Amino acid sequence: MNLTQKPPLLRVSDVWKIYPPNVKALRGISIEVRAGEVTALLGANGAGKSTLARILTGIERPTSGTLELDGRPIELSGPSDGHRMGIAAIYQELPLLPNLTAAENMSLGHTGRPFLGIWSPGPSRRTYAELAVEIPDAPGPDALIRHLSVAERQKVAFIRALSVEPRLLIVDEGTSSLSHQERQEMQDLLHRLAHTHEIAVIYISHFIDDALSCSDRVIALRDGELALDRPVDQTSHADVLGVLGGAVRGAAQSRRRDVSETGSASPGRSEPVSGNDLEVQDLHCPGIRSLSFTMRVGECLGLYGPPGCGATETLRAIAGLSDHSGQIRWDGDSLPKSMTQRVLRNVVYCNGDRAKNLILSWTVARNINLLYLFRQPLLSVPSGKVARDRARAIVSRFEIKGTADEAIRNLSGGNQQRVVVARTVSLGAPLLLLGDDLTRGVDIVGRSHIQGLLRAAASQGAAILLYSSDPEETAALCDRVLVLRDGEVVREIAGPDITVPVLESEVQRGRHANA
Amino acid sequence: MSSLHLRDLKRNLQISALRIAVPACIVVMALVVTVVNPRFLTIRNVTAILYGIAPVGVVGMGMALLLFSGRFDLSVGGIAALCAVAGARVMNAFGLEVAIPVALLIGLACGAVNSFVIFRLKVNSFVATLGSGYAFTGIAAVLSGQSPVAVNDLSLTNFLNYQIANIAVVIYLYALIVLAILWYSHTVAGRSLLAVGANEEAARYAGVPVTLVSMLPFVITGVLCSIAGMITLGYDAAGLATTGSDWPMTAIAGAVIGGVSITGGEGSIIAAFIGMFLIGVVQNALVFINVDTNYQTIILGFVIILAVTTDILARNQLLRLAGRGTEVGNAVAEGALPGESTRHVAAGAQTSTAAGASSIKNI
Repeated sequence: MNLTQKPPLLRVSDVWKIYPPNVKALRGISIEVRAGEVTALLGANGAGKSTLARILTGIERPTSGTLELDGRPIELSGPSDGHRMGIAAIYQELPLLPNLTAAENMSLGHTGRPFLGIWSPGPSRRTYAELAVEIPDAPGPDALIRHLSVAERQKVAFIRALSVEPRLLIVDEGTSSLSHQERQEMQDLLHRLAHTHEIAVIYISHFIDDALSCSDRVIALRDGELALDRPVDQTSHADVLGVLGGAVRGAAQSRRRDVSETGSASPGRSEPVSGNDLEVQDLHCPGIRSLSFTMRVGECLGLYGPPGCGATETLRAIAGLSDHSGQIRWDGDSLPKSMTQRVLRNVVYCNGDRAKNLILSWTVARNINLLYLFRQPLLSVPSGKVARDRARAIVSRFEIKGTADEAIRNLSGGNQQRVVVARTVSLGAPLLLLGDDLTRGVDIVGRSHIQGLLRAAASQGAAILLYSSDPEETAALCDRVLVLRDGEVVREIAGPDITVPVLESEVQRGRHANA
Repeated sequence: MSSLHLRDLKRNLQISALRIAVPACIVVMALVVTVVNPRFLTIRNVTAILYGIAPVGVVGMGMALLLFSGRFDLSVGGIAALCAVAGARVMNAFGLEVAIPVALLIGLACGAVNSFVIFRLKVNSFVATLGSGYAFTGIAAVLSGQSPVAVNDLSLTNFLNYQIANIAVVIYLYALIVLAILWYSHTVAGRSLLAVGANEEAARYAGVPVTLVSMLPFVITGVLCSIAGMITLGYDAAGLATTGSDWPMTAIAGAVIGGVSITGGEGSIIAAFIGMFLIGVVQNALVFINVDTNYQTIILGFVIILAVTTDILARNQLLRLAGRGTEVGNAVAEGALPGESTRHVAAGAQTSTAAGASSIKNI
């Protein structure tokens, strides 16, 4: 309670941001952020959280309203102003230079002081090493960025942010590409930074549970308005979901319920199907020791495990993206070697990274039709009308927000991913959809949409084999889960036993086994 | 939202403006030259232009297909030279009926060699064709010896120059090839080239047989080079080992001036044809206003640089346009760093995107 007695470090009063002609991105936001606290900032895509972050870092100026730091009004006319006042930001898409070392990247941000007219470097390797002590498993100062994983880069970005000695640290996790475990590590770090260094942390996330578990205060925006502002101990998951979902909330929740109902009903439903539709035997390739399992059409089978467990490798091997040994039989026949042949047999790999699945400069229609292109002879000229009709039908049937003829990069992330799933599902049965962390970086509403699509496809004769780094999603979606560790199945969980705590404990066990 | 769309619209306009900048300049130049010398814009002169660019124009059609997929072939001159010299030797020994199929087979084989090195041995197409181009030119030089191989039989020369409706046969041949490649670019195989050039990974995920579709244009280009080699053999009535030494650059430049992207994923055959024609217009116009040939080369060099520059500027605009897809967008580039180095890093971020993610290079 004494925390709330402290005067706020940052006070935002009645901030409006109106983009011409009349788009109100923020409508009179007033919040207070205290040092030593993690404040979670939640909201669906377009709710205004990023606009608020941009205003706080000085990249954009509010149309009206004031910012106060330590009780004094401040004007930020650029990110450098923010830095001078101790405001630093970490974004998910990290602008680190891949060819420089970690320490060099840290120094890059600093202007340094001219010495005898010669530019002198900012903080050096030593500063980096001092700051790196704070962060567990931080890469060394001489590590080249391009050799680092996403999680390690994130740590470098942290060190860089810390090097400006921030008082307010804004962490945007909005388009996360971190796995669930990596996110948790990062949250522990945020928590520690806030509490031991008296830094005010604003943590922007899509994940309600994450936000609730690591923050002291929760702020939620909806349509540019403050929808929720409460200490975390007075806030439940349902509260936030209620506020965020807004009008769509009902749909999202009922779908979730559908998912769990069909999930528990699944053993009965798959009875009439005879034989196994996908049969994997002794699958072996780099990252997978030996893997055998079977699944049926109509089933949603999850692969789950700690990073490096081989789930992605399994999906890629089945898709034909990597060389492998072992037998894969699908729909009564063993799969041909080439990926093209496998796609023709409706074995389709969908990646959570939309930039890998889609040609972002192309229209929605062209992206949809790309999957259908090689179902025609190599030297035939495809009919424009058929393609157009197909695209329009898919756009309207799957309620994709956008038109078939607009560039797909204009669509929101969730809608782009919906196109990926929709064009695949439209191939018809029998379909083997290999989903590789499909909803990564998609907001809550988009997530439940895509989960609904997958579930519907399964009930119409598709086999869904998927890996999700999110235990919540795995639990909500899957009829059966194979827990993988080091490229082997260590446990099979079925039906009602699939719960978030069970999955998380499996991952923890994997960690200890590795350590 | 609508402000974002407005900004996009503005960017899109800028991009279009950049894309047509060079062609527009050339058209203006053509108009000026016409005012100076009204004979410039006559059917007679236009056919003369087409006649002049026919050999490299034929090669340019293949090059455009390669550019679609983000690759190119620097050995086109070498293949043409080899076909011209070998064609001349065979023609002198066995006659035209044998020379034509032999030349076509040589072109096909050269294209196959390039494909093998690029797709089997996995050598980058730039290095592979730079090397093979030298080898082909070298073989042509060995075959021809000290001097050009003159041909006694003038039937090829006469055939190419035979006039139908006041237009030489070679121009019909050129038109036929443009139409054939235009058709190819609309087939499944041709359409998928743009997908491969824009985002190879996405194309693969969608079931495009990436190796097959990217290999075919190398073979097609090989055959087109042999046709172009035979055309120059007909023009000169001799096979020259120096044939086509400047074709790789001219063919690429023609396509790029027309708006085919040098980094792949964008363009059309019509655009490539127009670009090539405009190069012919520049060369011809300079002759019309009595500019020394050496100056012509200088000017053409600058036109090429200008065309590539505008392509890259347009591409950067597109990258920026794509960057805003994420909510944080530009903030990413600007926000995390203080002060002056911001721009530096933003540029860095862009190069890293360009290098790392073929994802957006298409756009």
